[in-house]
Amino acid sequence: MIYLASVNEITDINIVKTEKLLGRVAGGDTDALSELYENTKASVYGFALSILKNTHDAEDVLHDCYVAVWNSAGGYKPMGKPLAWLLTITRNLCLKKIKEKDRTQDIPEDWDSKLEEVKGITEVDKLVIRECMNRLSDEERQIVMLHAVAGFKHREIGEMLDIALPTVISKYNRALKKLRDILE
Amino acid sequence: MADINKRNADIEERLRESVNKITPDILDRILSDCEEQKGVVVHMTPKKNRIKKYAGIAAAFAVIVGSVFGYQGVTENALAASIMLDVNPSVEIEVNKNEKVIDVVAKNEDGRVIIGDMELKGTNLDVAVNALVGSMLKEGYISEIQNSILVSVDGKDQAVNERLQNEVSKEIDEILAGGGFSGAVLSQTITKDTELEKFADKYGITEGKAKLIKEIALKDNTKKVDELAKLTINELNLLNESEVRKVESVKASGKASDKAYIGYEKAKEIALKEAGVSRENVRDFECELDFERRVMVYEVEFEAGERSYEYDINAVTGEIVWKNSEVDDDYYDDKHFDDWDDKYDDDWDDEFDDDDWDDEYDD
Repeated sequence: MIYLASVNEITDINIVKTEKLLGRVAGGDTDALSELYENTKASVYGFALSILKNTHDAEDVLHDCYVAVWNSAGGYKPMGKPLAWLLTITRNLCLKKIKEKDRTQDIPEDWDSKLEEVKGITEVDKLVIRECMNRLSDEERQIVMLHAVAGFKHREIGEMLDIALPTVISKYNRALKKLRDILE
Repeated sequence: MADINKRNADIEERLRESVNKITPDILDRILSDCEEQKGVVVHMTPKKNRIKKYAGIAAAFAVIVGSVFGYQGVTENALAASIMLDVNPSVEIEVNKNEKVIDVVAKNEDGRVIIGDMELKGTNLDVAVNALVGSMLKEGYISEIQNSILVSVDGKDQAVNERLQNEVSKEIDEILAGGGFSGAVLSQTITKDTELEKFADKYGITEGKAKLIKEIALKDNTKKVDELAKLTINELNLLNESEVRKVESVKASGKASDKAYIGYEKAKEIALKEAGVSRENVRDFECELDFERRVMVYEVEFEAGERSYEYDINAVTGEIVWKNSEVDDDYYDDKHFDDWDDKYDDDWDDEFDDDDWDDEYDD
């Protein structure tokens, strides 16, 4: 509990910082965009990966997301939810990609070999990601990613994914149980 | 319970670390794509310097690759699919089953201009697409004010065709985004036939554009195909966007640029001024881009008072090319005539059995 609380604290501090960065990005400041990227890329990529289950497409969305942020930061109204705004863009890009994708080409990703080349990756890392991708349902995976990597609360996740709060909680618990059973 | 929370927290931390590790670092690519879009102004002249360098590199690469691959052998080089690109320039890329370019054919003079002296045989399809679209950008055929391109694929295997259609469309989207604006890519798969071929040769377009024109004319029989053939893909795209004419076999992404035109609002203003009517008094205000009397026009329609008004306004100059105004019969009638009989009791005949009296007659 203490650990989770501190994650949220960090997130709160980041809100002010992130909104300032977005303001600078709107003014054409590429340094601000770089800093924003470094702070949020894992959340964007992780979320995209949880939806698309494919590193190639998730990387495309990662790229397109920050270009979109660059173009539309001027339209962001500071309301204390900058990361949610970023991930809404991400989600829309993912849904667009799913629509455009040729379904007959859907080959399941071979996670082990895909992750092989990543610098500094451990066997446990590969295991966690593979199990997340393979064992969890789509919603479970997206919920866990938003909670674990982006630091959102269950209520916020419910708003972002348009799922009722009790459903979010129960899917989250079920997902973590699956992961506990496999990983421990 | 506390223990489970701790275990969950550990798993989440592990996931967070792993995702951080596998997140690719593409900041440079993002920044370079963003820089290109910084301070975008409508450029009336082609953005020569930046794209020139890019197209030059792509063409040089194509030459090198072409000479390395050389002649592949008869079956290797069997035509597997044709990818046709139309803007104003029309070109056709023929590829073999490995998506290597067998030939690139210009269908009109503009097509010859953009191919120039690039040697694209033996290159990969995406390299050729990059080189050709880059050339179109450099020569100013595609720009922010004319941003539409048509991709048509014809081949033996429909699944392959659709995949190529999607890949090439996406490739082009990215190239145009790199050029600093968003493109409008229309795409379709087609089956060539002699009728399409004849029509295409006659007008110096690809069979893909020919097919698109035929489909638009089918949906709207006020349009003649030979007039449509002379329009650019951007103009056809603008026509295609209006509801009546949406052609289902064509996939559309992005939005056709109407930056060369005066805009819907200006067109409406011009119409209102001509009619001597103010906006608040207007009902059913409609404005649509169309191609009438050989020019692109805004068709503005509205009703005010008891009259209905229609104006065709030249989309580039704002000149009124046609107008019509008449007393709106429906409105006039509604206001004056329909209610006069309300006070008469319509129910007086209900007691008479209207329907059953003839039942005894065997119909």
